[in-house]
Amino acid sequence: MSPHVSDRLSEYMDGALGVQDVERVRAHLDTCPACLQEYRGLQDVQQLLRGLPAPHPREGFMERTHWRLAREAAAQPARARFLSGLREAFAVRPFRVALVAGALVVVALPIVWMTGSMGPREVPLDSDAYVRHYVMLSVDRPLADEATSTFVSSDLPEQPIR
Amino acid sequence: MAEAVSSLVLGGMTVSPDAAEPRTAHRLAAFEELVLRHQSQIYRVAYRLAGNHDDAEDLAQEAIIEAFRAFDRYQPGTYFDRWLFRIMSRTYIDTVRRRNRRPTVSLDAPMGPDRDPLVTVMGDSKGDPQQMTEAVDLDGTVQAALDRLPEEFRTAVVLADIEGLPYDEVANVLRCPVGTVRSRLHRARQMLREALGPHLGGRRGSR
Ligand SMILES: [Zn+2]
Repeated sequence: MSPHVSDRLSEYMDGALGVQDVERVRAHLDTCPACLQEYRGLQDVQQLLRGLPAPHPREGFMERTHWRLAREAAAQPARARFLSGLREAFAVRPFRVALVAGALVVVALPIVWMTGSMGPREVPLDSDAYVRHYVMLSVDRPLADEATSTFVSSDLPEQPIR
Repeated sequence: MAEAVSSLVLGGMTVSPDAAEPRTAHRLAAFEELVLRHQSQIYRVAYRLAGNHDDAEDLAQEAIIEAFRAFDRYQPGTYFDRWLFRIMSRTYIDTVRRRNRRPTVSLDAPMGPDRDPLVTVMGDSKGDPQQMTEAVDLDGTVQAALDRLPEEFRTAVVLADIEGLPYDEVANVLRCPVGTVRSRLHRARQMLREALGPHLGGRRGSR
């Protein structure tokens, strides 16, 4: 192991090291000009960042944000109605499921053919595979934004931050 | 069949719009109050991530809209700004990746600072050195250096050094282990030290 403490310096600076490591780093800095110089550089960077002035939003920022939010809020009940309708249709009876699965296959087939990333025998037949396929598609193809947008919004934090 | 279609189209009609609207209006008001209270932190992070006012406004608004969609999952009494940063950092990284797909470099691979390919890339893409020295605006110079960091590194350093979040909170926002935050933060600072060399060395802290 290198005697230098370069990779511990940020943690040392942030007070994120245990007592023993602190002692080791401090002792090393007393004797090693190279590490000391790097440490001072890191301190300078941090001070520079901390000293940056707070940027002010452009005038009307909150107002524009308000209008976008209001538009979103207006769209939400309709979206919720549509989704609950969809859920109901999904929830019951095999023939409805067959209907939806049929629609999925119709939608998914050309995509599978176009991307060529899956053979025709691996046509996704269930909704899980369909979603998985879209995720893979979006990883491969940045232009498929639309396909992922619903997925992204469903992938928001469930765990609140303290 | 007809039944299925009608329940698709009319399913929600059982919920009267009149019952739904006030609830939404209520939520919106509560949400906007929180946004208003935290707007300067929200905008500051958006600006330091995006690098300019146009993109900062877009990023902040997109994150705010996403947060509103997920507002049911926010727990009152917890840090609203950190919850929103979590959404914003995801939005930001997604946007950057969509816009320019960079070759995959394993960002978190342990590597010495001297052999760090990213530092080398940074050095190469520094642009016109004269332009750098001519930049009288230190804020602009620092922001330009931030802009050249890979997005995961920039996010870590903005949250830790500009917002002042502790490591575990940064990890929480970025959904990664604390160890990853440590190494990203350290390497981000090293890259900034390289990039900002001539502008450093004013005030010195103590050991
Ligand atoms: Zn040393």
